[in-house]
Amino acid sequence: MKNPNITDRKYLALSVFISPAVVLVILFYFVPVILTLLIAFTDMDRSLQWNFIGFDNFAKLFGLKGKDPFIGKIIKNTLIYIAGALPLTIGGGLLLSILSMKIDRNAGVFFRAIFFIPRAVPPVVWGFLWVWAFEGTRYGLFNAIRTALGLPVVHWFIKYPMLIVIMANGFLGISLAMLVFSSAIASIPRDLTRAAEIDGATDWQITRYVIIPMLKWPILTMTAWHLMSFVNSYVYIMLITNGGPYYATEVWSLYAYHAAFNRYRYGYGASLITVLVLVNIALLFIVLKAFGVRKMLSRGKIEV
Amino acid sequence: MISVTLKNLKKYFGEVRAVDNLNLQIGEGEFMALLGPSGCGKTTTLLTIAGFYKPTAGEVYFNDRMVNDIPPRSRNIGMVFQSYALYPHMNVLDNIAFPLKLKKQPKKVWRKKAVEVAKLLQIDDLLDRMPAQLSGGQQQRVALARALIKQPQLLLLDEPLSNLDAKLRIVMRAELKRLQKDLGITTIFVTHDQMEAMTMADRIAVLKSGKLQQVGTPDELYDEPANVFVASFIGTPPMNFIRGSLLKSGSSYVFECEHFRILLDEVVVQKIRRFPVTNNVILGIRPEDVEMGRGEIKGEIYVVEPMGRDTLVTVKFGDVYIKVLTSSTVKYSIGENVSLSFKSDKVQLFDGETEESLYVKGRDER
Repeated sequence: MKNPNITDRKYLALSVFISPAVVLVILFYFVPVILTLLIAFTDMDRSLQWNFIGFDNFAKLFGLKGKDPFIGKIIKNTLIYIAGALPLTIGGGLLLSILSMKIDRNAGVFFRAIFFIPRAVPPVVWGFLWVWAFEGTRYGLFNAIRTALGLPVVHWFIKYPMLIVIMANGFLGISLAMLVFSSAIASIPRDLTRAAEIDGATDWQITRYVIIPMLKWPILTMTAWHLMSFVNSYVYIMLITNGGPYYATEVWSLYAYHAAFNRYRYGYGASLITVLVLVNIALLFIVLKAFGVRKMLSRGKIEV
Repeated sequence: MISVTLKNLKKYFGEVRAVDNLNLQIGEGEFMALLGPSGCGKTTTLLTIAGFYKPTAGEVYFNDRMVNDIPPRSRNIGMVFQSYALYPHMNVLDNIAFPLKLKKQPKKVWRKKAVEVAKLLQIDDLLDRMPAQLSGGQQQRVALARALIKQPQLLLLDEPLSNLDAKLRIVMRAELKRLQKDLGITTIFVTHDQMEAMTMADRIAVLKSGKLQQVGTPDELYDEPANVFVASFIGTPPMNFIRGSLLKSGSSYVFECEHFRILLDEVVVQKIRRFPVTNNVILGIRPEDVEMGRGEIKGEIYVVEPMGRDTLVTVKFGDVYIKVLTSSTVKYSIGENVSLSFKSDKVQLFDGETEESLYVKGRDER
């Protein structure tokens, strides 16, 4: 007869402890992913029938069999949206963190606190603030100002819908990027910037040649983070313009949401999401490659 | 090369007087040490000379030019930080050449100069390494090369040797001293290690709580300490101090404490500039100036510490302990009764209240 092995018992105990988490992850993460993948190959609609149609959804999506007339517009919107919001987030975050770390300590904290407000308010409040500010009638904030100045009202959401959506998301991104960059700047040893000053560097040169290179990792993290976030999230766009006017701000993720939950084309929506996941994976690899992660993780040739 | 003059220099941080009315002149090409325990204001002084701190009051002069309002980047100084402060994202070549690259010198020029200075410091085989791939000693040489490449008129070193291991420290001590003499750059360095200051510097300024205690050559500080603090800070093992009274006995003077009395030598009496108001004094004597075996001071051996060439013996008289440096050829054991004497001309006398030396200062004499 075999004695109960102590290691086996230890593993058993560990398994018991970890199993609730595993169950939750499987139930709410892997199962939905697999279901989404499966649904992408059906023409499931409101009737929730599993009717497998092979690659038909993807063929339609790429214009091979049948055609989705909006896909071109959606891709263009998504690219413009990301090309606007990402530089705004990273650039704005960098600028604000560098400036706010340069000025008086208390003033810096004050400015960072102000720019962090978007993160602290609920999404619905943030969304409706923008709706209210850019309302096209004379009751909107900016139009009220224009009216008071005797200027005609501007239909902001008809004229600049994408710009408004980019700014609303960009300012939200700035708040996080700024916070991360500021703490990274605060952790740069003071001797380094002093050494640069002794070496003859101006404030701009210190920023350009010492501070920004030392923010490489936070910039990488924030770029990857916000790239994924802008590709995938549609909450604020949905709240502010809901993709309108007439698909002007409809990005890929919002389009997938609308396909599934407005038009009840679950199968088609799932295929849109599946493509988005693949794009995400590709983007992640490109970002990591661009920043030379492997090189930075390699072992040093330290000689003591 | 320039001379540096600090005139009534004050630097306060709120209530804290980091540097309190410092007057100091550093000559052209001089190697000056700022010595003191941590918190004495030596690094604050260095950072004020560099221009990172604005003086609360007083002036800093480079030659005859007041530089209080000149930013660090325009002072033409080289500086080596305690942490070396190498730019971690640049290789050794780029680190060294950074000051020249900032001036937009062509690559050919900065490359040539960087290789030259790297050769001088024997790091020309490390040019493509990153700072993280260097040992402490190598990092220090890179930091030194970066400080020297722009041919500064003043070199500042903040605790340059404190991050090196003990052996390397002794090597670098000699090398730094030789380099400074070869280049002839006016150099100010900060240290808390009296041995470093003694071995490297032409002159030493001893600071305590932001106040200058004494300035002088290593020999002057060692032989004519201005007060008990300087006397105790300089020299290892440290000087022995015994509290007692100074009494006149006929035409001569006697130092008397609880356990013994000694007649002061004529040489000592002549050095006394002023007698204390009370007869309360502190007698100081270095361990190497105490002789074992004869004399009227009798005590018991408390502990024996062999150190190779010498042996450090602690002798106990009641509650007074005196350290004696003796040759290790004679063996002593704990509990042994011994008698000892002080080399009469080496005795230091300090005021028991102010702890200032009672002697005429060297420069007053001349």
